[in-house]
Amino acid sequence: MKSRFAALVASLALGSSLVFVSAGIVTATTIPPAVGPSGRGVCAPELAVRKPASVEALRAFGDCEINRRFVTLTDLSARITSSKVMTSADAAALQSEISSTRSGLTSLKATIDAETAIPALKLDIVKIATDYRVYLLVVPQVNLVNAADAGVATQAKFATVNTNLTARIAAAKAAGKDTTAAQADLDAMNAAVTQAVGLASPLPAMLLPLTPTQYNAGTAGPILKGARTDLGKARDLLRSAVADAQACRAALK
Amino acid sequence: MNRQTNSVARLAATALLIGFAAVGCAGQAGAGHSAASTPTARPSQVDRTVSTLAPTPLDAAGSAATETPSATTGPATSIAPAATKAPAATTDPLDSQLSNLNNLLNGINTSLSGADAGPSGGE
Repeated sequence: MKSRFAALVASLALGSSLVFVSAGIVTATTIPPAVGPSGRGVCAPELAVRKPASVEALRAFGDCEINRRFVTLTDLSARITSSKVMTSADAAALQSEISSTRSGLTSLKATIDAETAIPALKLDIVKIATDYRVYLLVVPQVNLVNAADAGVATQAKFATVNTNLTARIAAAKAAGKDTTAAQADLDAMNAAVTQAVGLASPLPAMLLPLTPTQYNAGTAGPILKGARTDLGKARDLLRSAVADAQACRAALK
Repeated sequence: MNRQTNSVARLAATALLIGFAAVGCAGQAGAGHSAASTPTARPSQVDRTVSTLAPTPLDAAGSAATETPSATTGPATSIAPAATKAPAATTDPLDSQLSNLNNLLNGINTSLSGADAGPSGGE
């Protein structure tokens, strides 16, 4: 009886630890999609069996690589649809890019499935990455455009905060309070917002036209990197603008 | 013998009285409890709460969660405590405005993380 109980406890402990471990994996994969349904590791078995190369093994590997890109594209498309900050024009441009990438990959998959020669298959498999650049170009494009649009969307919200705080400063001034510090905080908030929006607003127009060809030629990479840097700065400025708004309110109390 | 019978009868009568009294008290307590728990006792409180929440300026982007209490299906129990505290707990509209901004900033962070994770997909 005792041994049965011990076994039950042990199995529960094992089960719960597995739950925690798997939860950890899920949490980890939601941020960097290196593993999981669309992650790099998903085609590892196909990669392992393609040596020595056979048509079937290469085809399976190619299909797997294409399929995980389909998963990624579906996820990106859903995120664009659910975004509350992306402009309709940017969303339409990105959905169109995703759609053309998907149809290109579908046609490449048909080519791979019909291919019978190993050298041609190898060339087709390379095209999965080079002709579409799903992970190096499309994923950053969608995320950076969304971040840029979110940065621009904060402007209207800060305008409301500005109206609110301006009225409070006026009321405090009318009541004979010294509002110098509060006004300085509000000015700092507005300056930070202007700077952040100035960094974010030109980015979608720079990011959306980028193509895999430009990425392969080395011209898209620096634009992506620059946009990432600018958006990091914009985010920090917006954070400080929120802190300025809070400081302004505190100065009026 | 008669005395014994009398005392037994008295005891029985007392016990009966106590029993009736106990049943009566329990009945009243139960009635009080059920009256308190029925939603019909709450509408005035609910109405007051809704009317105090409604004019609060809410920002469009993040207002869905804070607006739900005004829904008629909202649980009375979760609204009722606010009714008693309503005058003291008037929220500053700036709080919701700043909270919306923080939500947007969190969204920017998530997007930037997504952009950074893209190349790790392997290409």
